[in-house]
Amino acid sequence: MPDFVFATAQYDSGDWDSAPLVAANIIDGLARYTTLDVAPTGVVVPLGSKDLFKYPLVWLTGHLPVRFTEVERTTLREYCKRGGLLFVDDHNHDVDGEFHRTAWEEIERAVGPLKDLPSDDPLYRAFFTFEDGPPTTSHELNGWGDNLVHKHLQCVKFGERVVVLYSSKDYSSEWSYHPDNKRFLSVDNSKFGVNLVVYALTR
Amino acid sequence: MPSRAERRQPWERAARGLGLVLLLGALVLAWRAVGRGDTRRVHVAVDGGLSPVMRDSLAALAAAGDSVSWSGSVAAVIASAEAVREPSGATRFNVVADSATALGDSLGLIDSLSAGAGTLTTEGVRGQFAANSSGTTASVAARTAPALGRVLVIGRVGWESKFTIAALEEAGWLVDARLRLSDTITVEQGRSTAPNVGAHAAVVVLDSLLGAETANSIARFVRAGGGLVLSGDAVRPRALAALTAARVTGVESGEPGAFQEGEPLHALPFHALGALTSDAVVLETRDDVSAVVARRVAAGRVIQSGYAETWRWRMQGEAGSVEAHRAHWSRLVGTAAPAEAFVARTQAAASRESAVTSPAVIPSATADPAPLASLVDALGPAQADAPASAPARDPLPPWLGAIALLLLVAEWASRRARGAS
Amino acid sequence: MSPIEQRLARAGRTLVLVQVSRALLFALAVGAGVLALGLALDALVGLPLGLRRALFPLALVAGGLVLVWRVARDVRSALRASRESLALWFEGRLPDLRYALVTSIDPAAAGDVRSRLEQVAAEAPLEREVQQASRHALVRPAVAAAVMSLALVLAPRGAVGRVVTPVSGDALERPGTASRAVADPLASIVVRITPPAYAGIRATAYDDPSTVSALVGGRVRIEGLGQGVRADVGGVVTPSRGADGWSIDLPVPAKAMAVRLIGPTRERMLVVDPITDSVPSVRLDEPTRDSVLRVAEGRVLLQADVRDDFGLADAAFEFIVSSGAGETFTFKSGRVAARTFDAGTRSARIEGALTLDTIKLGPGDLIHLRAVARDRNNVTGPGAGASETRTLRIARADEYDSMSVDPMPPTEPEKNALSQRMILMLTQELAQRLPRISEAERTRESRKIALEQTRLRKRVGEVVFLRLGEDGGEHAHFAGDGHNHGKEGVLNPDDILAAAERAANYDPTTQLEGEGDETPIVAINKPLLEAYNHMWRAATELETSSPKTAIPWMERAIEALQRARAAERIYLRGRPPRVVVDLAKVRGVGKEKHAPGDRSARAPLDAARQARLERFDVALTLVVSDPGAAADSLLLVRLSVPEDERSTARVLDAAADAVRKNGDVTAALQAARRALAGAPRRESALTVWGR
Repeated sequence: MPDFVFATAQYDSGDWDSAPLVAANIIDGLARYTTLDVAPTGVVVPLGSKDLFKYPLVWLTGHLPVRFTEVERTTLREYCKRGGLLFVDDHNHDVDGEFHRTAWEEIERAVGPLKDLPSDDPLYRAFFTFEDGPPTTSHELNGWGDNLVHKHLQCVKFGERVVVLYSSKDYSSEWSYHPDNKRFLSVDNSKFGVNLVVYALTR
Repeated sequence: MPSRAERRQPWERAARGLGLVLLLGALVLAWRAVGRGDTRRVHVAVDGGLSPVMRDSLAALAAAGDSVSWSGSVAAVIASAEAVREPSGATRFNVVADSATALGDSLGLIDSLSAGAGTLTTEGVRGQFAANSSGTTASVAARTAPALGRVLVIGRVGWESKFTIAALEEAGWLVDARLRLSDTITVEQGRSTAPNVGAHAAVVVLDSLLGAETANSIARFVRAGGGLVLSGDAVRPRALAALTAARVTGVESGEPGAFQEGEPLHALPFHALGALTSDAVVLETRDDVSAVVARRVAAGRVIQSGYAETWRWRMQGEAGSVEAHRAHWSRLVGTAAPAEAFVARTQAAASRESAVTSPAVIPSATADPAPLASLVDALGPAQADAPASAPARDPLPPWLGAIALLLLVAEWASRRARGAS
Repeated sequence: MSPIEQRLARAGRTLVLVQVSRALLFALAVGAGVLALGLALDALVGLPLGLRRALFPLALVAGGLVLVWRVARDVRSALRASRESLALWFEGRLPDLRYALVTSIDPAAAGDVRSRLEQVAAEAPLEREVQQASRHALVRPAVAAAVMSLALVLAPRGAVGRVVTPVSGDALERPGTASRAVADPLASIVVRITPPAYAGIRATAYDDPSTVSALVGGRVRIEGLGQGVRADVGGVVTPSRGADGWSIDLPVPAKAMAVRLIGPTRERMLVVDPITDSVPSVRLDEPTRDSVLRVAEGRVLLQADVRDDFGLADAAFEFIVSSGAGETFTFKSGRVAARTFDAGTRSARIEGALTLDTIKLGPGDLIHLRAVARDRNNVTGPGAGASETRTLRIARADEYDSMSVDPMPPTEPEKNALSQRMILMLTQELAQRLPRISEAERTRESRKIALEQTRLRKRVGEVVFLRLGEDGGEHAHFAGDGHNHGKEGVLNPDDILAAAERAANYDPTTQLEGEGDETPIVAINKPLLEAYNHMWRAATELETSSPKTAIPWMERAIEALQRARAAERIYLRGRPPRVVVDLAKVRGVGKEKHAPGDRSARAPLDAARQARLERFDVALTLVVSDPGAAADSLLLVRLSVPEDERSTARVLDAAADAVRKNGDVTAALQAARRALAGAPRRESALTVWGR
């Protein structure tokens, strides 16, 4: 059994599979920089299923409104209590959009209130060092979506432990390319994904 | 013709002689009684038990020469207390009794055990712990562990290390860690990431790939008195094979559905432990196969746990699995940690870094952990009944002295009456 | 009737009235006596509220019983007294009559004798005797009634109120409280809680509490007699006010707070425990499930049930319409059937309809529907509650052949799920009946259910087979379409079974859907194949008369069927592309500089637990010598308990109350200590662990 399997959350209400290449990109990054025993492909796990507990880090994204069922809500709450970490990324990059509004509401209802994660949090030094907090995405810089560059990620904490990380920065778009195409990039823009995984595996 | 007074003289002489003889006889009898050492006899009918004070008093009487015996029924119940070497500060009370036993403290009943042996682990005992079986109470004071050292976790970056550290920290252990991310990269935590007997109570190894230097330092650490826990893939570390008590004789995958069926340990991948050394102690089995094995190595202890991916227990188990996983890891480390008080020199004054510091409780003088054994030890085995014979008669009848006195007084009065001196 | 007879009759009526009055006076005396006794006991020992509430009814009952007894005995005999017995009664009291009276009314007497006797009797002072007898009969009960009533009248009004109309919060009215308060103004306190106006509930009061629970946003008023009391709330001191006593007013905070009352001679603690207003609970009844609609026309019926603990403000149905595809979506939202509620409405049903024509939907559009409600909380809210969301999708033209297009009917997997649930219920009922039925019946019943399970499994298999013949929709794949299909061709039943076995036990790290030799058909039907496999296992267990071991397999089958239902809707958009990373090729090629930071340690789960236990033990030592200080210490321990340990907090509150009231505290303290220390772990054998 590999040490790490990248899991994408499948939820009932929206287009959970809108960024199918993110998994491969992050797996590629982990293989490039670490010797972690990582599965070569990702898996999809329903958010309301007990299988969720097999993957203590789960990625959730989409464009459409997020409305959890009661089962999904209960499962997610229990998942966070036990030690899981959910990373949610707004694929619209739009704080006025329905994904952001509804996902935020559902997270707060299921788990707890979201607060800004400070830029000096250990997440930004978990593997690579990001002095200024979360790296910007090209979609942000191009004015996509809400035309804002979001300074912070948001998080829900149980005690000192981060259980939900929320991003409005559209990493789903940023990392939606085949990892073979990294050779064309002067700077690997998926390094932050490595930080996310290493952070999740150690904190 | 002799006068009346003269006729009295033989009687006077006879009376004097008889009186003296009687006095002499009394003297002889009294002397013999003293020489025989005539003792009191004390018999106690015991119903349930004697308090330690009463028992000791009777033992003192017996030591002073009195004959002390007892009869009655005292249940065989024994209680002992040992400090649980975990930050919880709990005490484990072991009880053995031949009938159902009520367990309690000065505030009242806590729990009960059926006949046989059992343990109660709690930090909630006030005053003496008492085990009452058929009216006999064994009592013992709680004991808490002395200050415990830190735990060093050596593993790979991954869920097993993450959740093992989480469980230990949540249980109150202070954890240092060294987690391998690649051959050249490690993620560390704490001040001391090399095994150090002055700082660490135990080392937990979760990574089968140990460098020679690390393995040697662990071996030195164990021999100097530290504890070692080998779990998961690291249960068969080649570099530490000399320390281990068992070899892995088979690998089984977890049983599907076992979590839902309330058998979490069956749901985990499992390294069966076999080919035990002669000094191995099997702490736990799974389906008659050794699952957790311990061994003393010089001054230290080594524990091998065959359960792998224990993090699944915490994440996928049913209700209570988070607590059970935490308790499992805390117990593994606590069992490996040394029994003697290791002063943790690295303990800082900060409140966050304080582990359990209360000293071991000195057993109270009124503790009575084995009432029947103590009673037999003090007063001998129970007599069937009180001694059947009547108490020894007084060899000196009281009338002996009275008659002697009467005769002598009569003789003297007669002499005086006839004017003699 | 002769004059003498008339006089006798009048005397008789008067005596009846006297008996009635006597009975009433006795009843009054007894009733007032009960109340007076209660008042005295209350003054001496302080009666609890429950007992005081019973006093007035008790007084009424006692008085009533006495009245009934007296009426039954005395009034009835007075009513039944005949003229002759009345006359004899007078004869007894007036011996001079020498039976003239009784003879004069004897019908046998006649003529001169009668008239002479009547003359004698006419002179007898009958009325005087009646008056005397009346006075004699009434004096004692009248005195008793007067004394008891006077005792009640002269007693302080508050004290009488405590026994006649007792209410919570009248502790300060108890006789003697004022004099005790001179030396110790904290001896007795009353706490009055005024909830926020929106809650619409009455104010309450408590006598001498250690802890009070109050709704956030309300106010707490602590009252007592005497002077010189201040309150310290987290370092902020609030002076008291009042001419007859003192009172302190505080808002109810969001977190539990300790109020330290500081008197001239001692201190006392009170904990204010906030109650949080819950958000409304909303249940969407219609539509009952998600669906796909062929055309965006018609009305969708909407029904919901809304409830709140203190009062609803408004409710409505919300919808969000998502249009678009790929990276480009547009959204529009709206509300229908909005309703407001009157104050005090705690539950309601809302109904409405969503007219699809007005929303201008297109193919592929998605509508998320839910019911929402808000409560009247204008302090910390309003609290908003929402129901489950239903999703309606407008089908695209190329989906018309798909099974899930029909509006509202259950899809094949859903139908199967219902049936599987029924089979599960039957099995569970059989499992419960097992101890009461014979072996033969158990076998028979098990096999009957096994038959049903097998039928259902075959239907699921047929669904999968059916799909092998599909030629349209997004499921379709064909040779030369550029996709890697793996093994091509129709599958036979053995292949299906083998695929089902693999599907139920697949390793997610090595297989994504459709990997290996599976065809896309098998991949898409994976949940159904899992269900197929689980059903087969369940049927096997039932065939061997083991219904209990069949149940877990049925539950897994239901779960798989539910996933199949979800998968049906999701996979209609197409399968996600699959990329397998060549780990060997990329391992270690990264050149970017990296330096993982150290991990920082986390605090123990409850670092203060041991300290709480130690503080509790210290409080125990004060129970006998200084109960007030012990109670305050227990309340401070209670405040340090984590917020989610409500039961521990309640147990500590009860212990503090018991200690303050000086009763038998052993059980309460024992429960508190057990709660703080956690449940002991018991094992029925000695263990070698820990040696």
